[in-house]
Order: sequence, then C-alpha cells, then structure tokens
Amino acid sequence: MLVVDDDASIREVAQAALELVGGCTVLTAGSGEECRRTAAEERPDVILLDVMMPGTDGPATQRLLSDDERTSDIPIIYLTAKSDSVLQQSPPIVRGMILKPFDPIRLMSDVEALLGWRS
Amino acid sequence: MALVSGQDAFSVELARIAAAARHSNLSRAEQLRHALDRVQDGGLEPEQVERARRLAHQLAGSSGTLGHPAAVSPARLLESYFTPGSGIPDATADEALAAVLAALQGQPDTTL
Repeated sequence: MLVVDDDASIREVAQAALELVGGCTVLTAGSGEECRRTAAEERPDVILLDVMMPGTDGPATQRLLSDDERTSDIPIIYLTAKSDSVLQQSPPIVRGMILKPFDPIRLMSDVEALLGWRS
Repeated sequence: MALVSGQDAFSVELARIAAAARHSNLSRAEQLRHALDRVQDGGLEPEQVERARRLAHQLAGSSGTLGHPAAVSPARLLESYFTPGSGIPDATADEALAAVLAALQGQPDTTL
C-alpha cells in the first residue's frame, strides 16, 4: 500500500496501523509528486491519497496517475475531511473515501471493505 | 520472551505518534494565533491566509485522529474563518482557537 498525505503524523499513524494491525507493507509519500514516482516504481496494491495537499492536490494526482500506463490500474482511496463532493467526478478507479479524522484501529478494515477484499 | 501482538505493538506506537503530533498541533495553534492577530490587523497577505487555512485543516485531521477529538470542530471553524469571504466574526475565531488550545492541553486519548 502507499499512503500519501502532507501531514507526517497522518502518514505515520496510517502506516503503523496498516502494518502492525493489518499486516501490510506500507510505503508513504508526502506530496502528489512523490506519490507518482513511488507508485510508478513500486506498484502498490492501493493508494490512500489525501485530497487537500499543497502543489499537486489529490484529484490532480489521481488524474496524473490515471494518465500514466504504469499506474493507471492502481485503485485509489481518498483520505479526506471533505464530504462526498470529491467523489462525484471521480472515475471508477477511485474506490471510495475514508473521512479524516479516522479511527486508526479500523483503518485496515475500512480499506478492505472499500476494495471488496473482505469475504 | 513475551510475544507482543500487532495490536499491542500498535498501541505503543500510537502513543508515541500521538505525543509527537500533540507538539506539532500546539505549534500549529501558536502559528494560527499569530495569523489571527495579523489578519485582524489587516496585515496578512492572501498566501499567508491560505497557509493559515491549511494549518487549521491539518490541525483538525491530526488532532482528531490522534487523541484530541475536542479540537476538531473548533479547528474546522478556523479553517472556514481563513477561507476568503467566510464572514465568520473575529471573536468567534478567537474563541475557536481558545477551544483548540484547551483541547490540546490534555494528554491524547489513544485508548484502543
């Protein structure tokens, strides 16, 4: 997984929760630009993408990821404080959103639910 | 040697991250104090207003996720205050900042 957020505390807590509770391997990025590089090189199973970031924000990053054949098929989940307005113009590769603040202990199960990983 | 479950290990890590985040969020609140003083004096440039809005946005997300839920609502109000044209009175923003600072005085609740 790849967690993208410009707030270090959010990156850290999401990484810890997904690794220690969820048993995943987690990479992090602090910007849309870093997200694009890491996603192209590492091909994560899913990207948890902050919406409001300086520079290239979440929706702009999503469009750039979709335009790159190396990353166009990687599912995206938005991490956002906003309501569902950000989802209204999103393509199917955006599987949903997790609202901030979030409950770290539930993060893995929320991701699994949005991706349909739960049996 | 005792086995430590993933959740136990996470509990320890969460407490560490939350303590560090509290310091960061207190610093953000202090920066917002300066921004409030300056914007009320008419001395804040548009990019500084936008920076203050982002600070309030980060403060809300971080404090709520990391053990200070009472800071979220007043931080959101400050985020709105620093959105151009919000019309939120200065006194309301001052009260919101006081509420943020009061919420951050306590230790974070990281009970799982």
